Amino acid sequence: MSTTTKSAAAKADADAKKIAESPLTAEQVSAMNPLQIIAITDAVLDLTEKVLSLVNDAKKGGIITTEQQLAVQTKYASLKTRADGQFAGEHWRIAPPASVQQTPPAEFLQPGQPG
Amino acid sequence: MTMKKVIPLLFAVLSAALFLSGCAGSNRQLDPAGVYAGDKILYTADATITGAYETLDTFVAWEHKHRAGLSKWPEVRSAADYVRTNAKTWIDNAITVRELYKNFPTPENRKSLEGALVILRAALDQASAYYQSRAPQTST
Repeated sequence: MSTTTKSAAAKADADAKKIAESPLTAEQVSAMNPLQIIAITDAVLDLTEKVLSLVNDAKKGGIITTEQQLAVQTKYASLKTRADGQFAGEHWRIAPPASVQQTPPAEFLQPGQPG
Repeated sequence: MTMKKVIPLLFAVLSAALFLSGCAGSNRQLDPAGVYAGDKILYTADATITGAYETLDTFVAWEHKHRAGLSKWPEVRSAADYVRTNAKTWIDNAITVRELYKNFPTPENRKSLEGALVILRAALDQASAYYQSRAPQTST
């Protein structure tokens, strides 16, 4: 394994450990609502899993098979042409802040009021 | 405090994921019979670009899914909106340079491609730095 890959893998391992060992006092935990706890746990678990799988890939030796190459190329082609709706999902839209007053629908406007 | 420490850590993990997605095959050889015909630079570029998209997509989807629970930390949403605003440009720039290298594999274009990939990897650090600049200095 190359030095950079090794150091990245070590960094990822350290990050994952840091997350696992991140000290939360009972006070801090009780100050959080269940939604916040779920959000944080969910994200940390998802990302740690992703990083660990990448670390495993990075540690593997041998040859990158024709199938693996094809999978990467297919993903790239899809991203290039936005074939799978990349950047188009609801989560990619910037919603206005909750405090911004929206223009009311036309049926709620008074006669003569600008829409 | 909690989120102030956890979010940069998430960015660090995202950054590591992005870096690893690009170098996962750095010590491995390409099967010359594959679609890349042994062109490691092109393979690495595609793996990095798609890995970058997946990483950024994971982050904004996470923020969107848990927006209500995260409303106490508006800087998280700011950072996600920063990614939403810029990610397309980051990815498209890398794709443009990658296509240029694919069509004209000169040493100059190869250097440009390597530079574009470095920029792409730096983008997540930039998002993290943006988060840091928006995060309140006092513990929450």
